Amino acid sequence: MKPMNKTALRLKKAKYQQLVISLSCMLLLVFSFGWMVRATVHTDKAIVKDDTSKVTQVEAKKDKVKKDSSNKIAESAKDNKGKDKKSDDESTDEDSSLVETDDDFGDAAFVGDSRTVGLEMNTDKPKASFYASIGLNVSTALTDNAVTLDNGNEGTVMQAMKQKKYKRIFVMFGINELGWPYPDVFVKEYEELVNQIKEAQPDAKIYVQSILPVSYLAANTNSVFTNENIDKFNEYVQKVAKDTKTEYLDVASAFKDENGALPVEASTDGIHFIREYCIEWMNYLAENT
Amino acid sequence: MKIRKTLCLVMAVATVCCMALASCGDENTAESKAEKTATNVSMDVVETADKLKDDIEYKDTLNELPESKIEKLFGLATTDYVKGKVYVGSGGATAEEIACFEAKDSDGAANIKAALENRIESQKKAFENYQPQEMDKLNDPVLVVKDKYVLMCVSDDNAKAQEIIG
Repeated sequence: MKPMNKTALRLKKAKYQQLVISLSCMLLLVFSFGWMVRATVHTDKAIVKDDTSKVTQVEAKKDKVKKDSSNKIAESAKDNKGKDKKSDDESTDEDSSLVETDDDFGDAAFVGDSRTVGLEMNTDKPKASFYASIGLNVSTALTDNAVTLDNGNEGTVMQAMKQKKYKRIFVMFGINELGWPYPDVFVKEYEELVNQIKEAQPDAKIYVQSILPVSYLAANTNSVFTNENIDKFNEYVQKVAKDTKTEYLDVASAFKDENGALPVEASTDGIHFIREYCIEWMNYLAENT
Repeated sequence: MKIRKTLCLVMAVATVCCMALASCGDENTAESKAEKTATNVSMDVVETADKLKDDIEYKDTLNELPESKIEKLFGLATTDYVKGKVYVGSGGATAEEIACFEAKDSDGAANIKAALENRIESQKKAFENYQPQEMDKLNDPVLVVKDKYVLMCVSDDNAKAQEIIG
């Protein structure tokens, strides 16, 4: 009985051992398979999640931009007098303010200082020519290689004016000359510039734009930046237009609030227009020329 | 008995194969990730430009520069880059600017970097007598080349810009 029991026990033990090994192998097999599946699914999920978050971010940004623009336009529509009161529907007004004019200004050249640089950078008029530079004035416009010519080189405004024929030329100077002590010099130099442009472009209509107003923030840059000073200089600009037999364009009046100043939200420094106001400026030029 | 032994053997072999495959897969992923970091930097310049605009505080209001103006401002034709986004200010208020470009290759990136350096130099000339306080930004702009990507940020917060660019 005893040896029989020993063999039976050994067999039983071997049987259990095999069973344990089999189960362990099966468990390992299931675990490995599961691990592979999990790794694959996890990677896919990460990619999908990344894409979804990008889409959400873009959507959120779009909404933010839309909201911000609407708010700014709503405020500007409220503050700006001299604007057309075409519709009572506020939303229609907001939308129309945002839209750039259809006029591509392909027949036009813009000459001026940093404000005209801002006009170029904040509107989309690739067919228009801009010959403007930061800090440019009626004197340096004739002497300095401050603008980019069509060949990519730097040149003077007059070199730029001789490159091709235009039908409309918009000139705006004056903000950098507000501190000049002798207005006669300003008038003389401005007239010289306009006459030279006329000579180079005999068939073009030249618009001498009034100096745009500033907000109270401008005084932080320099005490000469006041609307009283600008109004005084605009009288000289009017004289330049009259003397040179060109057209005076009173663009400034379209951007004055009830106090005769630029609305504060129109500019970050009180002088240079933000995009929405540049678009309005461009639209004004399209409507009035 | 024999069947069980065979079954055990088959299972053991299958398990070892499965584990080997699974670990190989993981190694491959890790390997490719490491490779990506070392040589192929992947970046969406549009997203980076947007992040530089949104996460940094600027004095000026920055707006996207129309593509048609990029050539005039930077001397870069649309064929010089694969993707690009530029934010500019309101003209003369500040020199704040963001320009992010993806070139075709590292040679193209070097050309774009040169164009951006020219832009900074021309801005220095424009601002030095006009808004001298802007010279601090222009004398120390963030201009980074990462593989085929060129990223520029002219702001008062270079640390944040560097952090965003990575």
